[in-house]
Amino acid sequence: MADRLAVVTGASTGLGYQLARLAAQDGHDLIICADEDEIHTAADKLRSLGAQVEATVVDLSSKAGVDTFWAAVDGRPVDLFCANAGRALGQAFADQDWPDVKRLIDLNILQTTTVLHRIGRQMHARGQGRILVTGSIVGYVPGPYDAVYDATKAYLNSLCYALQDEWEGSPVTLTCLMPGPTETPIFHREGNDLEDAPIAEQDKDDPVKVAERGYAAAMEGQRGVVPGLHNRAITALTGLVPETILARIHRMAAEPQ
Amino acid sequence: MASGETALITGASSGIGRELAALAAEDGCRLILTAHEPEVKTVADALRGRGVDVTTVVADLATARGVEELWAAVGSQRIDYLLANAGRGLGDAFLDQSLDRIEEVIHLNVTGTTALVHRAAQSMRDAGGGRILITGSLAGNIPGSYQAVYNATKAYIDTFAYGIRNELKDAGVTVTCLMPGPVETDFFHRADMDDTPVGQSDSKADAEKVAREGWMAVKAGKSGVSPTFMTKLQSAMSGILPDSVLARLHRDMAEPEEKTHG
Repeated sequence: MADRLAVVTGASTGLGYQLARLAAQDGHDLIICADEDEIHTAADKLRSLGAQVEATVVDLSSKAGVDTFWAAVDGRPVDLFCANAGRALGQAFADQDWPDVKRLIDLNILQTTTVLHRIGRQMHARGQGRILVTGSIVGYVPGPYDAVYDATKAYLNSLCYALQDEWEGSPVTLTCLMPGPTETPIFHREGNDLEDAPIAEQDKDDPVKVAERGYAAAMEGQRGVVPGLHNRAITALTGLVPETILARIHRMAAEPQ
Repeated sequence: MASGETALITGASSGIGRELAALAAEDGCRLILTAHEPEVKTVADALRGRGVDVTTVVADLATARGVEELWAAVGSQRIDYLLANAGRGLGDAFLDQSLDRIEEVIHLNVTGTTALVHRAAQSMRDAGGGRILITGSLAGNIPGSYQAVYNATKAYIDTFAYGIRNELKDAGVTVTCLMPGPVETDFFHRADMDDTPVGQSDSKADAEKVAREGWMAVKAGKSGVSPTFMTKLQSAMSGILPDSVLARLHRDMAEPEEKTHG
């Protein structure tokens, strides 16, 4: 049994699986979850790396799902938390079905926030911990035909930079991983409606490399990481760089006296 | 210009929403006003005294039921203007905030607003046109220490508004994002921010002026407007803020329409 514990949401495939693999290889035991049975296949593969792995099938877009997930953590001190579970939703906003839109908001925004609140309190009470949140560069590039998804990532990017500023000087670190398009099942998952989008067929970043950059950044306690040269150019153009400064300015205005 | 048209205004009991209602009424609109508090009826009575046709719906748009109730009240009426203005803030450090209040802010600012805009966008698309104004905020461009969830919800709104604007253009539906800086309303009090510099500041923008710029912008179908903010920011912060930051903020206000945001 390892002496460190990592928790990864959305770990059945894609970035989440790669992050879990890196955490296991780096000496963590794992609690992983996803909304599909493939999480158990992922768990078997991760056990072969020598980690103790607990896997839960849970839908984190529901309050009940978050409660189930939190019960699985069962108060154990978490050293690394990867808030990675997320969905996309293609097509034009007015053509989307409202239950799909709501589920996207509930997963990407609402429940990610509540989980961060719970894990943040636990880590601060304990005085240590690392959090990695999967945002996206699309949070800085408002786009049609994925408007709600892009907006949910704008929410996450903004929340991350604000919390980093609030937590400055605390031993708990929070890193925002902002990948560009990455070759994961997000483009082909049933219900995401992105199969016909041009991006689904274009060259995308390798999830192994993206996860490696994110994991290393989290371990170093960096604030934000944008893997890939092309993606860094995009964020530079949209003015990403001053986010930390903007958060500091906001503190000057809004911090209770 | 808007005479005889119908405007649906949320968060109309006070602040920017109440001022938007007065402006739409001045231009001859029929009004459907909604808020979560009964004070919206007082606002409606004052407008009726000036001969305005007003319907009120008291509904909490932070709940699915509230959105249903409002939309049921709209019924088959054609909505020419949706002014999606309802929203609330929440001060203090994230980990000191209660989860219940965090969820309320997300439910209202993100979920409720998106639900209402979704219905209105479909209805306007099918009707062949319409104009939507969404109250975002300059806060959407600024990660908000000690108001983290609120600012993040506005980052969502600003991004969402610009994203759907392009999609709806061909259907004759315009989407305008109103992005004020701090405005003199009940907002900061309700967000428990009376004890903050911004809450105590006496240089916040006037709600009527902000609403007027928003109303002009939505009538013109502009993509976004950040009223009265830059001059104040520049005078207060010049020499403190790095130029790159000022430039970014300024771009949000000054970038020519249609050039990049479509």
